Amino acid sequence: MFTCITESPEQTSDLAVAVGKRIREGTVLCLEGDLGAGKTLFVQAMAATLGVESEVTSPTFNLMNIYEGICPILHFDLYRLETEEQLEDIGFFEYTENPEGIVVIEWADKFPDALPEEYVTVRLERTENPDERCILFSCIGERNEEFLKELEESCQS
Amino acid sequence: MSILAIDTSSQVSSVAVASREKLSAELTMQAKLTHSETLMPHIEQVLQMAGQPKESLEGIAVSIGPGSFTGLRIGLAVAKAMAYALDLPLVGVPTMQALACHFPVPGVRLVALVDAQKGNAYCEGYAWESGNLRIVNPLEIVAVKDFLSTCGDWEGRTILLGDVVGKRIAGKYELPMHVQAAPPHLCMPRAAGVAMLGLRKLAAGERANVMDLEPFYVRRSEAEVLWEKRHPEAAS
Repeated sequence: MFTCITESPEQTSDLAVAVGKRIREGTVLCLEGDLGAGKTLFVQAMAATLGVESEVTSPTFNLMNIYEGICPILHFDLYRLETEEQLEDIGFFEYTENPEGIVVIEWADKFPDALPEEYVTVRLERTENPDERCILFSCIGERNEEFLKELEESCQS
Repeated sequence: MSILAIDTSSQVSSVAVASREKLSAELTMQAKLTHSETLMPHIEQVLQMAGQPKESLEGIAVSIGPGSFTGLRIGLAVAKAMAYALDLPLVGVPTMQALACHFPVPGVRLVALVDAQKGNAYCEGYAWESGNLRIVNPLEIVAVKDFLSTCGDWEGRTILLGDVVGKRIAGKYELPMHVQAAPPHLCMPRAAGVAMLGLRKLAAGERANVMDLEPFYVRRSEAEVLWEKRHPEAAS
């Protein structure tokens, strides 16, 4: 687990680029943070790094977007869902268990029991400075530890 | 009677044109492509291969699950739309029963295991008797690990089928002598099996309503309730 402070949306974007460069295929990445914290900005920068040319917006209403980059990127937004049963309705588990490509889940913290055995969490928190974000990286499961370590080293340099 | 059969309940996309006498054409593919993109072109191809215009079809059979939620919806949407547009009788075929058509021989227990995620499987056991399929172990949701550790206790020859075999059993687990994993080409659902059971149902006069035929999802939450009812001792 480690924390990065970014001082502007541009720096947050740069950090997402660093994530995009190092993330492994098959990773599930959960994005947490209030409305306006920069979750969408983060996904946009990361997806662009992964070769996505199409428009990236949070699928608040359609629940899931699929982007074609160097690998498929599945982008979920669970904001509108109320029960875990609704996740079954959208086939959530089929996509998040041993995924092909990369899975990004916004508002994953609403359904902690529904998450796969291994995933990375990125939490974006506001500070007193309106442009500043405190970004917390953590992971569940051994598989993602190496990725997180590489990312931490790149943030320090 | 010549029908179109569709199975998109798993990673396999399979369509077939068949009658009681023959399997005219079948297109079965497991190549990580999405059903939504391939299903319609495949139907067009399989009709062409069979030399049958869609207007000459006399029915449609579709695999209704349990299986992939997304896959089932794609298959059902297409089957219903075609049945409606062409005014054809439609029947739903339980996916795991269609799997049992891969080994239509008596004296063997066939156990279909379909991925239910999180280490679980939908599980149903069958036996063929005088040409009819009989359910010998009713549908339940099992932890694959528990299933494997107890399947040796069963008597008689058993064959395991379904996507769980490839994902978690074949080459990864040593099965007891009398339990055998089906080879890859007989493990996954295929439209030929759906056609075989679909033709029987249609001949028996069975008709699904295009407007309200639903996939047989067996939600995990429902399956758990079902399991607890059957195993009250473990639920307490």
